[in-house]
Formats: sequence, structure tokens, C-alpha cells
Amino acid sequence: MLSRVTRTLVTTTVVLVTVGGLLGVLVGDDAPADALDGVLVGLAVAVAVGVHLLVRSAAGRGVEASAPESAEDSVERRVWVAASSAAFVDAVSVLVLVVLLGLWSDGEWSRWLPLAGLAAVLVDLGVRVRRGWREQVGGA
Amino acid sequence: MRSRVRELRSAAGLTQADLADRVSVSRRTIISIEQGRFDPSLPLAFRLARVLDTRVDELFIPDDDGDPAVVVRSDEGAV
Repeated sequence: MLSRVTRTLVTTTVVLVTVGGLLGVLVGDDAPADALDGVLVGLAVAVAVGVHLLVRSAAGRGVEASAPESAEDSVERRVWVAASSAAFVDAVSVLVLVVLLGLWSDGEWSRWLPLAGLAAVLVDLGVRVRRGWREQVGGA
Repeated sequence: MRSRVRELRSAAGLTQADLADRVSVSRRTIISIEQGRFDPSLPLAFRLARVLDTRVDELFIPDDDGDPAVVVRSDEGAV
């Protein structure tokens, strides 16, 4: 499984770096410098994708992945799936809001918008997990 | 949904952990089912019924308590 992750990661990196460089040349005025900027942006995205893939892979190979709590029919899994599904819809709305506010704002504070959005999504997920847990399992 | 899981599990001499292990879920899942807080999926309901040597419709009772097996035709009066 790790080799599959590595192959995906290498392919993703090459594609993102190439696309980033091409976009840098096409969009920018100063071709070599903009191409380099594009490559760096592509590389940054590839690093983010790589971290995501490695975390997913590690989670799938971890002890918790084979625990009964992770079984498809366990209450823990059902609570998590229900909460994350609902939170995903909210996360998309928050993302749209962050984008719109970012487009219309020119203040220094706008750089904190993504962080505020992330915090809102994490709190939303936490509240939904807690509520689902109380309904399906009980207790605090 | 109410269930007879606790009753049949006790009759079979199984602990919650034993039953959870046999149907491949967490012990907390069995506790929640027995408390009527958690409705199991259909595959889990069948696994529970198989381990407890019963039928799904004898293991779980819907809250509305309608008996789908009793049908009264319009030209028949209820006895």
C-alpha cells in the first residue's frame, strides 16, 4: 500500500509542479521568475497532498483501523460518519463565505479569514460528534 | 426501536463483550442497542439474530408496534 501512495505522490508532484510552472509562464509577465513562482506553488500544493495521503495511509494501517470501533456497523463509526457528512455540507458553505469575504475585503485582517473558517468547521464537527454521541450512546 | 437482545443474550449465557466479539462490533454498540438508543444496520441485525439463534423480526420490535403479519381485509371484520 505504501508503494501505491508513493507512486500517487510522485505523479501528483510532477503534475502539480508542471502545471504550476506553465500557469506561471502563461499568467505572469516575467516568464522565468513567474515560472519559478508557479513551480513553488505547485510544490507547496504537492506537499499538502502528500501529507494528506500519508496521514490517510497511516490511519488505515494503524491499530485503530482494525479495532471493533472502526467496524462499519459499530456505533462509534456511525456517529463519526453522520457527523462528518453533516459537517462537510457546512464546511462547503463556510468555504464559500470565506472566498466571498476574501474577494470583497482588502484589509490586513482578511488573511485571518481562512483560519477563522477552519476554526468554525472544526467546532461544528466537534459539536456534531458530541451531539451524535449523546443521542446514540448517551452520557457526556 | 426496542430489542430483545439483552434478554436473549443473557439466556445464551453471553456477556456483552462476547456478543460484540462474535458480531464484530464494539461492546459499546451492543450496550447502545440494548438500551434502544442505536438502531443496527440490517447486516448487523442478521448477525445478531444468527448468534442469538432467533429471527430478526423476533429480535427487534418497532416503536410503532404495528404487527405487519396481521392484515384485515375490508370485507372481513376484526374478530
